[in-house]
Amino acid sequence: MKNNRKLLSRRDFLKIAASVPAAYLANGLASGLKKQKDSQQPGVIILVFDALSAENMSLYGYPLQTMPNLERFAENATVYHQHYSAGTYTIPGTASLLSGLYPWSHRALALGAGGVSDEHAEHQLFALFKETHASIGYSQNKYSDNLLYQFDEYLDTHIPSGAFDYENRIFHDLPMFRNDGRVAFSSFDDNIIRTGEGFDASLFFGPMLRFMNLALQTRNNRKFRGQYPDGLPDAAEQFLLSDLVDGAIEKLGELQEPSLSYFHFHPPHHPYRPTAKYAGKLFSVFAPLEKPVHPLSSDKRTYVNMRRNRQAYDEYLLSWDEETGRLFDFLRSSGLMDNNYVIVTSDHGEMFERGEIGHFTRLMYSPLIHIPLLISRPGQSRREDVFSPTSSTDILPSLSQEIFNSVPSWVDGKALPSMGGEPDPDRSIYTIDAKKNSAFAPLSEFSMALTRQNTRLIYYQHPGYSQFEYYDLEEDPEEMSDIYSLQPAMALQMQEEMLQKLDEVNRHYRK
Amino acid sequence: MEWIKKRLPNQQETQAVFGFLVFAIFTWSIRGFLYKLPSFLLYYDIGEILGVFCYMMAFSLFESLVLMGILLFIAGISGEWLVKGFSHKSGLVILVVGIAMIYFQNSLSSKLPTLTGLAASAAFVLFILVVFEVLLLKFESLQTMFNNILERFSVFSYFYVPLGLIGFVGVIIRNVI
Repeated sequence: MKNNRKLLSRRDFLKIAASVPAAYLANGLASGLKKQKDSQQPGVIILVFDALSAENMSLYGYPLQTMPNLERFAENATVYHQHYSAGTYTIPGTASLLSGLYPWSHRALALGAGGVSDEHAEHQLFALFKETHASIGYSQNKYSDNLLYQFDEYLDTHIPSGAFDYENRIFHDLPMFRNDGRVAFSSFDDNIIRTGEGFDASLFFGPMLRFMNLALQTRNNRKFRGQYPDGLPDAAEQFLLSDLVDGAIEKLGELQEPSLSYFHFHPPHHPYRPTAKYAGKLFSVFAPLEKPVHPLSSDKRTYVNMRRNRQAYDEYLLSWDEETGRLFDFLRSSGLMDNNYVIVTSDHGEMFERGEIGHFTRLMYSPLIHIPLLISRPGQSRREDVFSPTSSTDILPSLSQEIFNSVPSWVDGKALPSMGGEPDPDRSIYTIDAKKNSAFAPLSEFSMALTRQNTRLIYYQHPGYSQFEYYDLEEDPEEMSDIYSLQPAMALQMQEEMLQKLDEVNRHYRK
Repeated sequence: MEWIKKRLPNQQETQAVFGFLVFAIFTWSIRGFLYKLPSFLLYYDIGEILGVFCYMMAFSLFESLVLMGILLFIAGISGEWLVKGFSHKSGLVILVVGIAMIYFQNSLSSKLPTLTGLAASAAFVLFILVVFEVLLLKFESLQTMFNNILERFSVFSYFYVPLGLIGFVGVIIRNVI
């Protein structure tokens, strides 16, 4: 009786054990064959420039020519003029780009390593392309790199965030934490040994490492003062713009076709560190419009301070553009543009107005949410311009439509015009910031913008401040006159639509 | 073996110092964890939060062991000077340097302090250490009281060290399995 219960004999066990490597090999072979079978399909190269605002690019009407090389790239690409990010900072912005979902769906809301909800963990580009394309993921921004850690099982190659940096002092990138990068990040680099303001959770080693890091950074800044007079660019680790582009070129040169390649570069994210060629060159060249400080501004910066920062940002854009020019040249000369969709975009914008600098704000105006989107289809030889509104949630459905001829049912976005979709000038585009809201609870503390037909309704719902604002972007592109109090019919209609949407997305999270 | 034994402080004193060191490091780490907990609750599930706690406890154990090793090594090479009165001397160093480190990490956000500032801070910490050490040597009752307090701290090692070991096992499980 006892023997009958035995599930495996020793002989059976040995047989199965011997067949495991063969099964592994067969599995790899099968997936390799499948990838080969689909090798006629075009590849995808996504280049994300963190915190790049369309409002600071001459391609989108800025008076200074900050990105001439990107303009050159645009000559063989489709330029989306009214493209908006779904989030206002890296985590929700990147998660929307990768998943085709709005932040209220993917729930990567807070600043940290939370990632998208389990429900949507497989709803992203890498999973979508897994069977047909080899995939490479790289994010220099440590926060968006956490999303790549979450999607790691769908990535054939996950390049460590510090791979192209000058220094390497990030703990969670260590190979020993490979399986647990997000939690290791929250533990080490966001807690035990931190950078910037606040206490380390390590009493003795924390400050010692802080001191050592600062000493090394000071030394590096001195060493490269001739090249970077304001200090080396810094993405928690210092880096050189040229190294970053060289690294990307090297990896792109090794691509096996067809591939899905995601490169998320830190520039032009703060701190703005232009090269010597451009540092200080834009002083007094352009005086932006002075806008009143917003009641929700936490920094309440002066106009002079904001202007100085904008100048540094523009100079940093010029410096970064000079390097990316080499990247675009490589894409052209290597033939990668002939058989790849090359997408250039951002995760969110950057603002220098209303008392705020950067993007860690509750405010929600064009400089922060209007981002560039340029798509060069394989072999595209001339420029196209799309003026109907589009969202960062549209990238996944567009690629899916173009490459697989279908759009997944779970996406919030839709296929872009000239990428299998039709222009829809009446479309509603949302941007959501709910960084203080729990990912597991209904949205109750947030800023939300609804852009439609060249108008924008903004809903600020924060403790002690609940307000709607409404702007006519055609008459007032600088968003100076809030006409919500006049109660235009369109504003009321959009308000109703927004509140209905809010109720709909919150229903799932109400107890 | 005898040679090493002669150069190291006795077990009771070592245990008292280790207990105090463990108390300082683990308690500060738990403070850091609790400080971040509200933000973790916004996006992590309970398993991931416990994961972070495991990393922090494992790192605290590592930090405690390394620093204890350094203290014993210094005691070993200093001859009688630090071995005699190891408990109160090391306890004083942990207390004063620990407080200095809290101040230091808060002021080290983005700018390296000047060499003069750094030297002045180090001199001040050293001065405080010397003053307290002189007081402890001069007033034996004070020294006894200080040693008694330190001895009480040894109880923390029975709680925190297993916590650190559990954390270490947790980190291994999360990364290997």
